[in-house]
Amino acid sequence: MPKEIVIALAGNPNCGKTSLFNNLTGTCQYVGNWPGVTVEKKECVCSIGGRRVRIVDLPGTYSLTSNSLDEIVARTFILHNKPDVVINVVDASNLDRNLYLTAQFLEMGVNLVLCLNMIDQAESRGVKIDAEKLSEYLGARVVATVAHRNKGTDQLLEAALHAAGHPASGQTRIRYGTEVEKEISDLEAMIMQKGVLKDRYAPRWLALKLLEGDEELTKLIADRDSTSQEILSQTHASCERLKKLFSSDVEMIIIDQRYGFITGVTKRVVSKPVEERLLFSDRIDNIVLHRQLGIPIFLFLAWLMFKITFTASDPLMHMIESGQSHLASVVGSLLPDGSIIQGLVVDSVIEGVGSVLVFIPLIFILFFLMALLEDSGYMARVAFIMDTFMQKIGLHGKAFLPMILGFGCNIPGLMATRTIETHRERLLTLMIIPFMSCSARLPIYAVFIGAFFTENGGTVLFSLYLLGIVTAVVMAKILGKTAFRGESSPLLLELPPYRMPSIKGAVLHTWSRGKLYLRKAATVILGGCILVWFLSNFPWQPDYSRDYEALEKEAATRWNAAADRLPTGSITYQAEQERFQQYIQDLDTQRKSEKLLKSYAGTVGKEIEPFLRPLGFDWKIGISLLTGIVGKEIFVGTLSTLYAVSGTVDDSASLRTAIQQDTWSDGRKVYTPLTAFALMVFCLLYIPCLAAIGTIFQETHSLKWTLFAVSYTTAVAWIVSFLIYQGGRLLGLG
Amino acid sequence: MEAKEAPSVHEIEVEPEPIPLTMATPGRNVTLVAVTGGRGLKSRLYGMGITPGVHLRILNGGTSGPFLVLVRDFKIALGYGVARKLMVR
Repeated sequence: MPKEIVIALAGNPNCGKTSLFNNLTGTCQYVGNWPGVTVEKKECVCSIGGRRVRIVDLPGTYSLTSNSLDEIVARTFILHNKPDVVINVVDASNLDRNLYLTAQFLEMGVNLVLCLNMIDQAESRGVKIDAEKLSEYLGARVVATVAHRNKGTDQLLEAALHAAGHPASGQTRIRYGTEVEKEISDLEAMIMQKGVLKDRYAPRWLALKLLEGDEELTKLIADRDSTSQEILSQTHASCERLKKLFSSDVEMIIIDQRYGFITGVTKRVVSKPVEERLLFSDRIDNIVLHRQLGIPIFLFLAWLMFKITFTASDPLMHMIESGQSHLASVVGSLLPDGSIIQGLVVDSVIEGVGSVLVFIPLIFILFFLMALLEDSGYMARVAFIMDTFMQKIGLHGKAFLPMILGFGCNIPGLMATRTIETHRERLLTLMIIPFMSCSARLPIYAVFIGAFFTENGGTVLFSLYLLGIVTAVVMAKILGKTAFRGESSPLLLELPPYRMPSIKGAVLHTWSRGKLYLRKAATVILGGCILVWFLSNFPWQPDYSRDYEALEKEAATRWNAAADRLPTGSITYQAEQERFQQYIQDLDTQRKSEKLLKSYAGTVGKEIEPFLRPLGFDWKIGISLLTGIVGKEIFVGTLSTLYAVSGTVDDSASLRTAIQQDTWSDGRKVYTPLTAFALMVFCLLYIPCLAAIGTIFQETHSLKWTLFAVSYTTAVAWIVSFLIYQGGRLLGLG
Repeated sequence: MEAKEAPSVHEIEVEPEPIPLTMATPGRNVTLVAVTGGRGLKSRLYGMGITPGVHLRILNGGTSGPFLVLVRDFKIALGYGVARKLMVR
């Protein structure tokens, strides 16, 4: 069988690479994220004409230096995995800027196919590009496409496959002028002679990069044996010579030459009219980026997004809920009553997982709306709007984007911090993202808002999100002044032109993120629910303080005797019968209660209750908070499991009714609106879920910072909830 | 667009009155003369097409907040700290 063909997709941010990838993967059987490598690196495998083709979507970059993690990821993939073809996607209306990356691909000598994307937009603005000439100058194939209309995709794929069979040979070599060329070839000769890294990198490219002062490669050579040191000293000498000659850094000379090459190409290939007009995008920007109006507009849009989410998902959630309880009763009746298997299936699997699945409409609608805003280009504007504010808390506007992503799920948000260049700001952002209210916390809000804040649910929800942001801001300020002292680095970000978001794109976006939630429900949460059910049901036969079975039998004997005595249907008979049934039910309730109290979960819950009492929480909440560490949505699953088995309420009542009716032993309600709010705040702020903790560890490479994140968030949660609950009580709110 | 030779450091020194971008009036068209920042910043700016000799139009800017400039037909948001390091005329 012939070898698999690997095609890498590279390009600047905002060049339409993602739509193009979506088009290409339309024919694929499998599309997967690459977890743990980068935020948006995806790949797909398909079979074309009997050959396996793997398409890898690299992170969008402007350059291939070792200055940011994204660039390193893209560069490392190309250098180490040696894809057969690199499709370089460029925005046809901005050729000169986009070709800078192309120039670097040519330097690396990769097998290049240039994709002139958004050619329609360029043409409508009067930009004409001679694709044939361009191909000639670059020595690479050029294909024009319109990715968002799926035009030219087939031709592009065809060109790429053709190129895969014909390795790069006639590709253009960029010349950097006589003096620089001489130094390059001297250094190249030395690298060849020493045989350093020659099987990994092309010697000419390595020489060029060393002259440019590439940190990663310089370090790589420096860490090798002593003979390699000669290369570094020659590099140093070359740089000094060139510096004297040009009175400029070598890196600057090389960059100038690259742009010189690009200008040379575009001058001959592109004809552009001189334009002086206010574009549609500019008109919108005048409003949304307005110094005073910008932030209110953003807040309004965010509020509207949550309002729509809540309103639209409500009827759907009710449908799922009723379907779920129907299923529970049908399945329950098929299994032997009171058996372990019935408890496991009905109480843990159906109840637990069901109570998480019920939030699918909510999560998907929110993801969809966020995808629309993101694809439209507005999200990048938010970084601009928020920059002044973010600078005040020691971060820059770009750090706001990972925070927004954190609203969907903290994990992509945490991973998106890789675009932040300085270590200090990256770490600081990582520490505050867990306060962003992710979608896993929505199920918790939905339950409590549904039970206690039906009138003003949207506002309460919005206030929670806002509180998360405020906490993050305050903590950023505090941490920035203490644990992470230092200067904040400035913002540098391209704002893409506004685009009409495509429904298809938004759906794909929603699906790729929502899928993670579904997978979690099917694996971690299912496991969590079973574990919780086990902990709250075992020991299966605890040492009861009273012999419930005997008491029940005794009562039955008494009732039978009374029934024989009394005339059937008489008033006394009915009263006795009711009394008997009530007694049996009470006994059952007490038994179940005692069983839960004596279970493993009850023991732990009781242990931590004293810590939670000042916040108004009982031991059931305590247990749920513990299991919620696995995944915050498990909190809901646990709570419903606990209520379904504790028997203090009718089994068939939904969780909402159960918590509305639950009382302390003195008859006070466990939940007032104030408790519910304090609890939602606690859930918002305490320990991020296991997956998030894992991601923080992976991103910081530090156990210290991971433990710090876990403990300080919980401390913050306790303090804020305490202030809310006790403050509210002082004000007479509950 | 007219391709201009990037001025070398010598030329910059004799050129009169380049001012930081932060001092230029919003709405004006200016030409970038030099970047006074460190290596990392320079190479990032250059990668984004912000090179000496390029024309910038200041679309949005203020006393402390970020600046929005139009460069080579696309918009770039520059924090105040970056804008301060761009010498224009």
